[in-house]
Amino acid sequence: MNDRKFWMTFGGIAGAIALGSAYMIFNEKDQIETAKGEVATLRQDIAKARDTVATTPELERDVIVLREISDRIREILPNTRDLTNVVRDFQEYSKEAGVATSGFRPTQQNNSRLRQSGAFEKVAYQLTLEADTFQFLDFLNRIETHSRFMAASSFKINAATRKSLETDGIANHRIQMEVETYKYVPREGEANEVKIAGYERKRDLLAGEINRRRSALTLETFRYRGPRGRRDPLIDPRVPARVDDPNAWTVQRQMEEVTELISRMEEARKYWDASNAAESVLERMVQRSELEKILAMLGDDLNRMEKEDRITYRPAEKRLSIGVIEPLQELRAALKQSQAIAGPTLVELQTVGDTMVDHINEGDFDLALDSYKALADSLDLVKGDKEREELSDWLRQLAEDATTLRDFELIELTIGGYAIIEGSDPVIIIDGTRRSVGDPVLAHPSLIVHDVRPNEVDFVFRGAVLTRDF
Amino acid sequence: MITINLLPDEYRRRAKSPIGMIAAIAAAVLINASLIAYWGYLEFGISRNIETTRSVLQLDLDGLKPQVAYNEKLKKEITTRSARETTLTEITQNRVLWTKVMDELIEVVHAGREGIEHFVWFDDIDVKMIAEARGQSKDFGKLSASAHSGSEGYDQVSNFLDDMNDTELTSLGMIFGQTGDPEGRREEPSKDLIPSVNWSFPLTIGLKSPADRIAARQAAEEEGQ
Repeated sequence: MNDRKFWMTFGGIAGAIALGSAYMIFNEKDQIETAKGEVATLRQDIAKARDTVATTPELERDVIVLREISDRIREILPNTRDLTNVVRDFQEYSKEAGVATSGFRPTQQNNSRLRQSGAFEKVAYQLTLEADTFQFLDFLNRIETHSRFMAASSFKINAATRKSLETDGIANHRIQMEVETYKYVPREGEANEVKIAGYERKRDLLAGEINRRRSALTLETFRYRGPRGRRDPLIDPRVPARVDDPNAWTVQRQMEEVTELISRMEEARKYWDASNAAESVLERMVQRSELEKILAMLGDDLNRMEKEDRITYRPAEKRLSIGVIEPLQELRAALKQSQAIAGPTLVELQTVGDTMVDHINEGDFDLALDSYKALADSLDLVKGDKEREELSDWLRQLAEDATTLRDFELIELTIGGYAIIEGSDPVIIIDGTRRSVGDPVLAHPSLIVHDVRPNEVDFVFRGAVLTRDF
Repeated sequence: MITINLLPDEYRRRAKSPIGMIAAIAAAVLINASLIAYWGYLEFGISRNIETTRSVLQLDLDGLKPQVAYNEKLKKEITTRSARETTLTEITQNRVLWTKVMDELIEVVHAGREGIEHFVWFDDIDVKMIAEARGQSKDFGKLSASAHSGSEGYDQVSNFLDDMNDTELTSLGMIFGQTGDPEGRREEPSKDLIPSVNWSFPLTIGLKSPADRIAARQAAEEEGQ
């Protein structure tokens, strides 16, 4: 091989190696850059994952609080449509408020924003009613204080005509109202409950927050307190002109007077209830006495009003009839009927007697006497009623026995020795004194020794033979 | 072409050491050796090191993945559950307790004091709420009524409207804006009734926006505290 060839071969080989090496270096560097990029991405991912994981305790707290308040939310915004129950509630409320319902139907709703969220759908019902304003407000209040969220979005009240009011005496305003509520429609793929380790412990630590959020969910309510003597603003309040009486009461005055009578009637009813619930005859008599006073005054005022023709405003007249006149008649009738039977009833006497017997058998003489005291004052009232008289005599006897036994129990005696000799009267030492059959105990002269037996002594006490162990 | 050197040995040129060749070969070997060494450094020094780091980081990330998944599930549950709470808050804030409003309206109707006996009643009451006001609209609903004032003087209509706007007398101002300007028409007198004269007038009051209602309520609560 000449020089030229050598150099060419050498140069070629050396160049090829150099080029190969350069390519490998270039390739390696590229791979290193890629790997470095991956490492950087991994580092970022890890940092991000760590940041995410760092928020887990906070998320757990949120989930726990939301889970714990979800029952309250479910109550206000139920899962199921549950509208059949809502309609039942309307029916019940209208009955309670005295509202006449003449129609109900669901109405179309277009609530785009809530529909977009996909979770809730508004459901509305249109109700057609007839009622006076206060009945309607009572009905509305029941709806607005329902545990489920319900709101009146619109309503229209058309006043009853003056003519219909004068004919019927009741204001039947025509009312059309729309009540809306929401139903929860779960979306597809909605999250299931995640298992949280140590849930109960974490929940207990969050009790304060849970309570705060739960109370924040409480719907605002209003306690409606009825007409309170106010006139219906949808009734024409003008009264017929009375030339004969320029001092005729205004509508306001009429409503106030009727309300006052109604409150007195309610007071009378309370006395009636209290007299029925009284534990002793004495208490019952006190309650009845107060009741009779109130009824007498109420009757006088009512007669005066009727005589002077004070109540001319139809709604006031109607309220007077429903709230005072009718209940007064009913109460008077009930009172009269109850007074026909004086004194305790057969059942009362028997029950007290049985109770006393039980107490006496158990040695609770004071309790037996307490039971007797509840009826003691009224036993004389049963005179003439043979059956009840027998029972009252039995009760008196039981009370006497209980008193004797109690007093005998209270006597303290110190008994020393005793001697029982055949053919002779037994002898016993009581309070250090020798006593024999027929001898009275010195400290208690009403106690006479009747018999002595081993470890027992009989006494005659208030006509009864009683035994004392020693 | 063949070249023949015919000179005797002593005249022939002495063979020199091939320094150039050696240098050239040495340079070529050195360059190639350096290149290969550098590649070795990159492959076995740097690349392997990076690969090890990557494996360690990957393991680290794999360890965090279940925790991240748990976190995601929690977020999803929160989204679902808080949707109800948010909606509840929104609809609650928009609600007007009409029993309370009507009860207060009746109170105003009954408000009477020295010189003020507006003696008002209504033929109808119409209430409409607009849940979502469109665009820039400020119409959130209204209460309108055909009213009468049983009095000789039509100034009682103004008295009634003043009572409606009186914040000391009623809290209707928390729900409604101001009443419109007073206007009225004298109805045909009825001689059979007392009072015989009455003035009919329209009552229209616009509902405030939910935000304004909430602000008014909060302000009232703070004042009460």
